[in-house]
Amino acid sequence: MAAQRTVSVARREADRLQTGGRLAALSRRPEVGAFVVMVVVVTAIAIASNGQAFNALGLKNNLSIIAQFGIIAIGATLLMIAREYDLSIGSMIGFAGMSMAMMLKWGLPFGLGPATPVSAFFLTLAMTLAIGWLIGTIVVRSGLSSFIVTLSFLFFLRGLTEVCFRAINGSTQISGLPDFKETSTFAYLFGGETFGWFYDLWFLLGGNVNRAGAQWVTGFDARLAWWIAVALLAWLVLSRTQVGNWIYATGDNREAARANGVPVDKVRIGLFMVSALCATIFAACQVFETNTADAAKGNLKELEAIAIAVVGGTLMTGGYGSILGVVLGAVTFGLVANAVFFIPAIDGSYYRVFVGVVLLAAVFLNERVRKRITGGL
Amino acid sequence: MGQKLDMIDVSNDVAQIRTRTAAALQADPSIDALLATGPHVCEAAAAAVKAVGAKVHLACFDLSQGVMKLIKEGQVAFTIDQQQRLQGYLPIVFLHLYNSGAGLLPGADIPSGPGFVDAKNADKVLALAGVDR
Repeated sequence: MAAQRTVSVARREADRLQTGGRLAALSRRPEVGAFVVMVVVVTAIAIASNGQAFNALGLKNNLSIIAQFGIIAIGATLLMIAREYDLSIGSMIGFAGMSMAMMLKWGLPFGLGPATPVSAFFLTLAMTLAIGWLIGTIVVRSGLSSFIVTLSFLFFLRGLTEVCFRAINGSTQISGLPDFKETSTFAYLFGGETFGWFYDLWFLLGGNVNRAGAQWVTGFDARLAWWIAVALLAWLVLSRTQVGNWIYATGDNREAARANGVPVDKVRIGLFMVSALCATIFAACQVFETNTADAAKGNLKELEAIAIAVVGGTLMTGGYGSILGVVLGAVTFGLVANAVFFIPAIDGSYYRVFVGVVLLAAVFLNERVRKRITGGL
Repeated sequence: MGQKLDMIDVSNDVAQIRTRTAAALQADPSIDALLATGPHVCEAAAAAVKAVGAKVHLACFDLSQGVMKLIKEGQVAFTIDQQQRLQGYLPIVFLHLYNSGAGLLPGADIPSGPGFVDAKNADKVLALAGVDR
């Protein structure tokens, strides 16, 4: 009797609509498709690689690729929720990488003297944000499809990157820059290591030993921390703030949202700038880790970012998607793109085949989930 | 030379080149030599070899500041210079001679390579980089 009474107290008016148990409620979450695919992929790779993919160095390297995919995928997802695409992400990465490395090698533009990692990063960020703003403004003012506008920026920015490399540097790559992460804390934030305590603990517990018997890996790549930070921020904004509601409303029914006072245009322009920010973080992590840049950096990354957003359950038609889903999607996609190389029996070139299969499988699964949630729409 | 060769597509992304090379090295400890087919691939492969702690003979194609540094440090055994000076300069000279010298031609093909760069000549090559090398 007593137990029954507490249940009835905990019930609310809204629970009237709830049917089925906790499992049924879980199966209606938008991330469930991405989660199932991720579990299958992680298990398959762990077994096929004899656990090598998840030993100390394997875990670090896989998470490094997952994190850099994850950073740009979050930018792409926010845009897709607002029913826009950014095909210029890859070229933006190339442009930002070129800009930073060029300043570090040849000094600041207009003869402002030698660049530090801080000034190179923020000057580049100012340029990429301005380009993001320009893309957004063109899309909003012209009413053209963002697919076409960003496609033109895909070509424009890649071409500009190559032209700058040839005109200023005389070669399409920069190499042999001083190791800035050794001398600058700011560069270390992007190119250094993070969560060292995890690997210290692993070593104390008897694992993480290299072939010489000493501690092997000392920390994750810094981009893991950036991915976590970007994802947390995006999740907070999407699920806890008014701006988050605006983003969903912009993608769902734009005219209705506008009529209700949502600043639809500002939301879209802002999201193109967020996407540019994500691309700049991606580029900064690579430039400050390797102290190199080349004209092909970021090639095809825009399509991979969109693929991850789709694997994560984001709808191409806008108004629907979740950050947790995209985080799971990035894990799946990054693993498939990297961990296949742990399995010597499989030619590494098969990874694109797997990517295609996983993408299609995830989309079918997500379609089923979405139809169940929305009642067959 | 009868040895087993495993070719991996490391992509064009410097982070992926490093992690995929490390993955292949970890998966097959019998790998004892790596040939990287580009300067940025070479630099990332050297980082992967270091991270795995493998004893591997690493050789590369093409020159870059980073590759020259790795050669001097002994992490890369040698790199193969394309010798564009020979590839681009000699044909023009021969064509000119052919046209103006009544079909004047060398008696045999002249190979433009391979031009090896290792620790012995790295400094000299670096001084001429972008000029004659």
